Amino acid sequence: MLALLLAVLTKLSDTELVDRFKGGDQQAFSHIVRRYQDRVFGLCLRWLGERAMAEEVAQDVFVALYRSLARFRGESSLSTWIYRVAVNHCKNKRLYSSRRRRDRHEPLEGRQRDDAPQRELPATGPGTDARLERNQAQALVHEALEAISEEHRQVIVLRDIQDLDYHEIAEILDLPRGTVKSRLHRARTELARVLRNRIGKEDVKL
Amino acid sequence: MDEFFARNRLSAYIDGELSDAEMAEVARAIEEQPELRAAFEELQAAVELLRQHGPMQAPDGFHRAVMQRVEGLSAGPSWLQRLLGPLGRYPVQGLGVAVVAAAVMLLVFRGPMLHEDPLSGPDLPGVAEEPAVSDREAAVPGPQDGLGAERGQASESAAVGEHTDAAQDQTGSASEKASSDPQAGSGASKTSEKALLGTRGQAADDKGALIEELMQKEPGNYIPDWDKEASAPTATIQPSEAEVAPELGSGALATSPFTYRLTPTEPDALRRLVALAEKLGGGMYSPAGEPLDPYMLTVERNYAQVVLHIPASRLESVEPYLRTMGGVITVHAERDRLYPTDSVHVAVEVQYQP
Repeated sequence: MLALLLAVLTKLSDTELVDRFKGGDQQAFSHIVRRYQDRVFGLCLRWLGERAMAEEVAQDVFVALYRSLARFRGESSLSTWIYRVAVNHCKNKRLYSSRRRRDRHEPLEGRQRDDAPQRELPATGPGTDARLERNQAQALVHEALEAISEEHRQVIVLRDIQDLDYHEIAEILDLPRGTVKSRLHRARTELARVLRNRIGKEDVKL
Repeated sequence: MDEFFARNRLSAYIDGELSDAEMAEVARAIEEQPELRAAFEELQAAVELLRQHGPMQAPDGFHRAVMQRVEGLSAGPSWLQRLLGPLGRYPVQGLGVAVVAAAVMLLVFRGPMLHEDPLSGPDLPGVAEEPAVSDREAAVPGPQDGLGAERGQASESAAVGEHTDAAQDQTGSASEKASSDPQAGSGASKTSEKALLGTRGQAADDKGALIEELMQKEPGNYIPDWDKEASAPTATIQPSEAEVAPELGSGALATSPFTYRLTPTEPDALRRLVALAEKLGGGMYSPAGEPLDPYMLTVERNYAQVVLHIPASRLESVEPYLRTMGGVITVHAERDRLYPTDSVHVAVEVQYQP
């Protein structure tokens, strides 16, 4: 019975899930969380750079969503709406964190980073090399994103990691479409320069 | 194609966001110009790297943690929104309110209206004087389901029965139950009326009782220690005209007898304030009056208005409470006025500065 319900929910569109939630179906909300949790967490992690903070903010996003989903009128798609909530949460959290760090007179050498993908102990066995390479590539992505400006990071995360189209990005960031296009070009150029400086042009071609 | 022109279109070219003609021109330029080709390959490699290694999975237990956090929340769809269902997606709050108002009116006036029907009972003996049935009785089926004898309302009168049958025939199925069981209709309406009156009667005490209850349940969380903070000294700063934000210096909230400007610095402070406002029947609104959630405030759009419905006896403690959340300016406070009603609207103009 439960499997049947899950199968039904899996096939439902976002709009149908929202309608079910408005009708009091808590399972519908649970399914929305499952559908979007990777995307929201990924956005928060790439935006904020710290795993623990990203997890906390991503949870906050869904709690905010739960509180306000009943008011969702479908003027934009659910995904755009969720991304907008997530982006606002990330913007606020990042500003708040940077302000706190400033207030705390953080040493010039910067904070302790825990934003790189979790390091794994050296292991042997099949797949170890691939995993190591994957971790190195993820660490590289992390470092490169940290090195570029926040404005550029925003568009890159939304376009190249979250795979949103220009129209959605414009809606989420409240920018004209042309601005998204030009900003994305500058952001990618900056990111490519950072990568080139870090690992050399040949290694970028993974 | 000019190299500078083509270079600026490389990113859009990768995304296929150019017109067909431009796509063809850039492709040709990449083929013909080695420097441009190198720039394109570098950009494409960076994008590929991000697409392959950028996406992340939520950590184990994330879903469970979210569901646990929302489990205790009372928020979510209101009974009205559930009633409206899919209509809730459209701006039909006005219609919803009208529907509910009509339903309440129907419940309240249903009895008397039925009595005006010459066929359904104004002349029936005992109907007007019939005492209201209890809630439990109102909930059980009417005489057609076998309860009539228990109530003694069948009257063993064939004439009445015939009269009622005639009414059924003439008024149709919509009024079938009411005409065949006027007592049930009258009883239900009186019960609803009683419930409504009861609600109205409790309304004056509701806010105070709610605050007391919340204070006991969540001390130091959402609800401040009002009594303790009421005795704290309050320093009032009158803002200059220049300090009053133009977006918030006018409008409906300017008429509130108590208006403060708060600059919360922590997201949690804002959330606590809005949670308190919602628990007391208020909320947060944009300068245009649209409901807002705390997450909607950003550095770019950092103005909002929070409305709190505070018991008059506790007004003095509002300002000290706000001070725990950030800088506060008292824009307007009619402290000397007497408030005949129990609840006073307090407007808090929020200028969020994370």
